[in-house]
This record gives sequence, structure tokens and C-alpha cells, in this order.
Amino acid sequence: MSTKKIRNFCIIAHIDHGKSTIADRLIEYTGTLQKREMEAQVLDSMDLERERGITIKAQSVRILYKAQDGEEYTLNLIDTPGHVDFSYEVSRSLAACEGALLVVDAAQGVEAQTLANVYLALEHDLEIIPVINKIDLPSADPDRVKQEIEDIIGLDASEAVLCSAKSGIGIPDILEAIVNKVPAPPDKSDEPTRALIFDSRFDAYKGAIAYVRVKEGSLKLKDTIRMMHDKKDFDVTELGIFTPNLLPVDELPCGSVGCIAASIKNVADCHVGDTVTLASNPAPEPLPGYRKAVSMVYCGLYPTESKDYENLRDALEKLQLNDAALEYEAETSLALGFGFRCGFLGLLHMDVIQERLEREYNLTLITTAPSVNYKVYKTNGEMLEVDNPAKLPPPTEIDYVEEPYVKATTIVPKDFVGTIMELSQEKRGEYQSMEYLDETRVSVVYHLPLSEIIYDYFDKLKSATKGYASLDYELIGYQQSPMVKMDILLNGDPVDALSIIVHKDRAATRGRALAEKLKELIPRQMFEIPIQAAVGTKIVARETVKAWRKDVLAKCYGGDISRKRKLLEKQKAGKKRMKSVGSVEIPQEAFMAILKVED
Amino acid sequence: MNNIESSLLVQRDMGIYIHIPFCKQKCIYCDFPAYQNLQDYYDTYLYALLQEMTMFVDAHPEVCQKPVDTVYFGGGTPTELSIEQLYSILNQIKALFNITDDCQFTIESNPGELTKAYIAELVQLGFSRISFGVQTFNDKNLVALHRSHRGQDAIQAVNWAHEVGFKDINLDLIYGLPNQVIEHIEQDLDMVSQLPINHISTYGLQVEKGTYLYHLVHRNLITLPSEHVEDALYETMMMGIEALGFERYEISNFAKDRAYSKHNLKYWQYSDYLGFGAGAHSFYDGVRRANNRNVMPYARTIDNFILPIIEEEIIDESRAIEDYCFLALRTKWGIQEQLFYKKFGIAIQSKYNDVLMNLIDKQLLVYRDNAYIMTPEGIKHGNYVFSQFIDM
Repeated sequence: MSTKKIRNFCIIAHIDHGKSTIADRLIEYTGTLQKREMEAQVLDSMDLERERGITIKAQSVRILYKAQDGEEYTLNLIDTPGHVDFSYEVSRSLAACEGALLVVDAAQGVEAQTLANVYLALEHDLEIIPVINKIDLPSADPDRVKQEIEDIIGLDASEAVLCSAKSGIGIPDILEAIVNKVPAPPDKSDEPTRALIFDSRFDAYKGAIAYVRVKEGSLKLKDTIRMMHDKKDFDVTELGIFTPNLLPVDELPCGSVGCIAASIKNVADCHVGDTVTLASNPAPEPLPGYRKAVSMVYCGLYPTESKDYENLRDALEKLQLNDAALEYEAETSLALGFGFRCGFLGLLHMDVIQERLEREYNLTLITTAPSVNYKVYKTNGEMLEVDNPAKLPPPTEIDYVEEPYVKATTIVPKDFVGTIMELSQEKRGEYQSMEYLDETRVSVVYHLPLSEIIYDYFDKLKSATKGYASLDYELIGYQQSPMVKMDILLNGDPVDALSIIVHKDRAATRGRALAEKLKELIPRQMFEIPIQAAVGTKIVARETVKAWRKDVLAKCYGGDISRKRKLLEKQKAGKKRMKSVGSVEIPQEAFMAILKVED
Repeated sequence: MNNIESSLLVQRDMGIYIHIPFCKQKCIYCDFPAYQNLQDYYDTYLYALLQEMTMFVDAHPEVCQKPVDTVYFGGGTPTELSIEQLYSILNQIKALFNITDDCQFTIESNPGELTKAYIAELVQLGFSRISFGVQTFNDKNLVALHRSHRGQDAIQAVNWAHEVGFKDINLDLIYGLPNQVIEHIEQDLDMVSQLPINHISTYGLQVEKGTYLYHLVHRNLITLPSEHVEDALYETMMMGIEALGFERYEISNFAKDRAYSKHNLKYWQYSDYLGFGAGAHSFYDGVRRANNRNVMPYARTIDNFILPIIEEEIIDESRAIEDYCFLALRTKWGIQEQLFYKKFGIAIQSKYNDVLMNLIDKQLLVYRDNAYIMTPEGIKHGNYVFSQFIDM
């Protein structure tokens, strides 16, 4: 079968610029789904994704389109997640495509997230088709936006498609542009099979399911496949394509997109980025670009009610089935009791997991401040890996500490180069290189401590560059740094879950800022609560939460007990997210206070 | 505990509350169902009120058999009504319900609005207890609250009530008024010490949404005492009243010689009470009910032969236990182990052991004479203590 009538593409857009709506219209226009089957925005299936307007797990859909040349084409739309935490997943999705729709809001113009993913798409040599959406808005200014696309991104926008996904204007033009501009996949049917896994998920009946793009050769039912990096073999039990509902097929030919079920018990055996080949005729080399998912950020997750511990374990187990990047192991905290240390790709990943646990599993959680993984070399010659500040040994036992460094590549419009450098220096960055990608785009490379990136580097980067910078980072190794543990004492007692590891030169500033923030976050209680930040025995900051003098419903009118009770319930609900540590009640936000500190 | 007290704790009899939602002038802090300038509707309201009682009895015929040992006229200002109007209400109550011989009849009123003759007629009607909304004797503070009476009126009203034969007299006092200082409280207490009263209810001024006071405070047109001052006012008031020989038997109620407000005790001791009138509340046979608080909709509903109930909550066992605990704790008798067991058939510790231990640890509660009782510190943080008993 020829690949000539296949087009594989993705959509790149800033949040709210209409990616999902355009996807919906393409599906609807081609009759892939009946209108009544369409739940608005088919592709973002998780509630959370729909609410946040971001795609966390990639999905894909096959669209059959009869073009103006009279031929029927198979268009595979591969959806991409849209955040730096998932840049690796994005890059794998892009690697599965030959083209991309670049959707830009006709009123708002080119924005940060657009740029970051366009740069990624350009790196993958995708054909980019500019689409200007929402042209029927009163404030739409397509000409200015075209100019921006040319000036900022450096793409020819003269043939940009004008559309309004909401009103259905321009949808046929988009389909024609995909057929005419996106290259057909190269026909390599005769070569040994290589298929790229760009996503995976877990099905309770079929096991882990790999979402693949067949780059070379083909896959057939009952083939024995081999995961080239994991070096494991499985028998294909089912092949399918997405319409977007799963439609079983007998073969996934070269150039196509589909999924494989092969009784794979664990998503961890089905890594995004791995290459599927045939055990009978293996390809000599896997596809390029494989990176094993590495946890970058660790934090403790604790149930506010200790009775929920088992439920939390079950919930984590279930989430991990679908998310090989999530790691966890049991830990205990003096302050918080039994919980789990969890590893994430980044802060957004952490947020998403926490929200899913709370929403889908109805748990109330305390999340401790995120930390990176330190290597602690002790005076006795031992080396300890520490991802929980509370576990850092006393200073007398430490010879030196190494912290993880990343190679951070930032791509920005040239006007912001100075800003990036200033920010990176401030965050203990070491300058590596700078390169003009073209007249407008500059790529700046720094080595930065990972802890600074997760702390606030990314937020600061975004605000300092008005959102135009894209950031990608990868772990490059460990470097020695003078790190110390800062303890927080509430009412004189150290609260282990509030400890952080911080660079010695910043301990005092950060301690003061943290103590101030905690003062804001900890509600007044029946007694005065001193808050102290200490490095070793040295107190670097002190604040006090004043005592709450009185709190009683004195008035009772004519036996209106229900009203009284409602007030008490309200008060109690406020306390639900609090954790009693000793005699102090600490609200959930306090454990994350360090992320909210300005310095 | 002596016999009088223990008999108080196991009351079986019901109370009846009558709400009269009218005032000459509404106080700026008031968020109760109380309205001024409705004189034209007094008769309509009265008719509806009498009708409501009949309708309730028709719906719950068994209620006529239950002994009623307290009748409380509250408001608003019940003494806005004429003696004849009050008489017709009392008549209806006596006709429909089983009133005990020792039933305590209480009426609320405002000083400065009554003649001595009127007060004397209240005694003739059978009221033995009168409660005056004095709030403070300081004229400047009274003006700030838009109260129509003055300190002198309050003194006169109390003395008249005593002279015409009221056995039990209560004063309401408020602390935490705008510009109030400790000396004002001391002066109020000095006045109290000279008056023939045996009961005091005292409250901190609360700024409730929707009141004129709320508006003033939020526009910075009025300044309330700082937290520090308010705390001192509270301490002065509480210690001062006790120093005058009154016993604090409930968070905000004080009595001399055990002249407790029998009616109010029903609220705290989980007894039944029926409330009639706009915005009145009932607790009867395990169900809490609230009436419509607006006068005309209240009367119209009754006119259509429908009880004016807008909220009805059936109190299940676990809810009952919670309510019982946070209500009982308000009194000096606290949660009596044996009473609790008798009522619910389980030991209090089997449900609340951790809560109780924790509160005792924090010195908010003590265990004394087989009862859990709030400490003075516990009373100050009553809401915290109460909310511990609510499971959500």
C-alpha cells in the first residue's frame, strides 16, 4: 500500500487560541463523528485537561477526507501536550508527523507557547501551515498577525489560512492545505519495521497500549514485536486506528498511525520514544531521539487524614499504570505521618498528579515543597542520595554535596538575550554558548542547577521575556555546591516537612522570606506561634503569628440552632485542609510556601 | 449538683416561643426578623399567628398533650403590641396547649417605650419574667447604636417592673461598642449592681452582613474597638458580672440564685420547643423547622392554609449526637456522661475519645464530676471546641 495518500500532522497553538475547537471542526466536517457523538472538544479527554485547556496525554484521530482532486486521503491528527515538563513527549509526537498547523489567534497574535513549540517543530523539519483563527472577532487583525508570524517566527505567512473554528469558516481550506502542503510519509515499506511509540496508556483488559507511527516496514496482527531499547518481545494481540474510537485493523502499513496491544503488563515496558521492530527481522538501529523519562522533581504526598493512606497508595498505583514517568515510594514524616515520596518530570506534572489524586480519587492531600535529588558524600566515605530535605545528615557528617545540573536551552527573540543572561546569572547559571538560529531567533545555552529551575526560573523566564522564551532542559550531571539544610521551627519545634535544602549564600534571604510567607499562611490560633528559620543551630529569621484572642458564637437567637451549626461547619471545613503538627495547625499551602516566596 | 439543678438538666417539658417582629426603631446592628413602621399590619400578623398555632396543632394533634412549662415572647419588640393583642395570643396558647402550673412566662421589651401601667398589666396577663434590651447605660453609646432610649429610661423601667411585681428581671448588655472603653463597662456594672435584677445576658457586638452597622464599618464611618481593647472589655464584663454575685451558667447568660432562663435552657439541653411567628424556629420530634422571616409572605402563606415553614431538617442520630454535644457544652453543666448515655445508648467516649482527650490536653475542657466542661479558655475559643464535635 502506498503512503501517498497519508498525511500525518499535529496542531501547535497557544492555550485558548483554538486548537481543540479546530480539531473538533475537522473531525465534524469530514463526518468522522456525527455531531451528536461529539462531546465538545473530543481530543482533550481528561476533565483536568479540559479545565486547564492543556493537553497532558497525547491522543490522535484518523480523519478520512475526500479532497478537491477527487482522491480520498487519510489524515492522522496527532495531538501534542503543551508544557515544558512534557517537552520530551511533545518532541516524540512531533517526530511522528510530517506537518503542523500553527494556529494563531487573529486578535492576540503570536504568543509564547506557540513559539516554543514552533521551534521544536522546526527542529523536526515539519512543514508548518500558519492558520489564523477567530477572524470573525471584532478585534481580529489578520494582517498584523501575518506580519508577526513573518517577523517573530520567520515563516512565510502569505498563504496563511484564515478561519474561524467556532463558526466553521475556513475549515475546508485547512483540509486542502494539509493535503497539498504536508508531505506524504516517505514510502519505506520494504525496510525492516521501525515504529515510533509516541504515547502509551493502560487498559485494564488489554494491558499497556502503545500509540505508534510506523516509520518503516509494517506491523501485522500476530507479529512478534520487540521494544528496541527495553529489549523485550511481545505478541501483537490487537492493532487499531482511532476514528477516534478504536477500530481494529489487521495491519498498520508504513506511514500510518495506530495502536498496538500485545499483553504488555506494564506501561513501563512501553516507553514513549522507544522503537518497535519485529523479532523476526529486527532493524539494526532504533529510531533516534530516545530519552528515558527521568524524575526531576520530588515531593512528599501525604493524606490529611491518616486513614486515607491505603487509598492514596491504591490511587498512585492506578495512576502509575498510565504514567510511567510517575515514581513513588513510601516514606514517613514526623509531622505528617505516613505518605509517599514521589518523583515527577517537573512541577506541572506534579500539579497534575496532585489534582488528579484529589479529584478522581477524592483524597485531600498535603504536598511538601518540591526538591531535587542531591548526592551527599559523607565524611565516612559513604554516598547518600537525598531527595527529601529532612533526610539530609547533620553538617558534621557531610564532606560535600553535589546537586544536579541541567543544560538549559532557551530560544528567544533576539531582544531578550540580555534578560535571559541576567536571569541565568542570578540563578547561579554558567554561560555555555549562544547561537543565532536566523535573523530573529537566538538560542542561549546555560548550565543551571536544576533546583533553581524548579524553584522559579521558568516562571521568571516567562515573565521577563513576556512569555516569548521557550525552555528545554536535560540533566547533564552533578556538581559540587555548598548546600545547607534550613529547618523551620514552629512553636519551637522543627517541622521536618517544612525543611528545605538551600545554597548557603541564600539561606538568610530565603529564610526571612519563607518565615514571612508562613506568617501570612498560618492562621492565628489559640496561642502565639513563633516561626523560626534555622540553619543548624543558627536562627536566620523569626516571625510570630499572634494568638487568636476570642472565637465564640455568643449570640443565639430564638433557638436557631441550624444557623449556628452552619457557621461551625464552615469553620470546620476551613480546618479540613489543615494538618495538626504538635499543637499547631498548618494549612496545606504552608508546605508549598517556599514556591510562593519572592526573593 | 443539687436537685433543682439536676431536674433542670432532664427537663421533658416543651417550650413555646412567640416571635413579634416589630420595633419602633430597628437597631443598627440587628439582623433578626424585626421591622419598623409596620403598625398597619399588626392585626393581620396577629391573626396569622393565631391561625399558625391552630394549623400546627391540627397537623400534630398529639402536641396538645405535651406539658409546656415555658412561654417566651421575643422579638423584635413584643411590647409593641397592645395588652389586648398580647392577651389574645396568650389565650390561644392556653386554649391549644397543656400549660403546666409552674410555667414561666417571659416577655422581651425595650426600656423607654413602656408606661408603668402597661408593665403592671403584663403582670396581670401572667408574665412573671421580663427582659429589657438595655445594651448599655451610656447615652453616647446608645445614640451610636440608634437606640431610642437613654440610660435613665432603663433604670426607671427596671424599677417599675420590680415595683409592679415582676419576680425575674433580665438585662441584655452588649460589649465591644464603637468607642467603648473599660470605664464604660465599669459604669454599666455599677448601675447593674444597684438594680433589682437576677439575670443578665451579655453579647459582644457582632457586625452582621446586611445591617446598617456593617455598612458603616465597611465605609470606615464607625470604628470598633481594637481586638486588644475588645478583649479587655470582654474580660471586664465577664469578671464584673460574676463579681456581682451572678453565676455564669451559659456562655453568655448569668443568673443570681439559680434564676435561670428556663426557656433558653431548652435550646442548650436538647429539649423540644415550638416557635410561632415570622422567622421563628422550632425543634420538635427530631425535626428542626424555620419559618419565613418576612411578615407579609408569612401571613399570606397561612392565609392559604399552609404552614409558613421554609426550612425543615430531620435530625438523624449521628447529627443529634453532634448537636447535643456542642449545645450542652455551652452550659456550665457541660456534657454529662450519664445523660448522654441515657439519651443515645452509647458512652460519649466511644465516639469522641480522641476529641475529648485532645481538648483536655489543650486545657480547653476539663473532666469533672462525670462531665466534660469547658474551661474559661475553652469558652473563649468556643467555636473551635464545638467544631471538633462535628464530623464532616
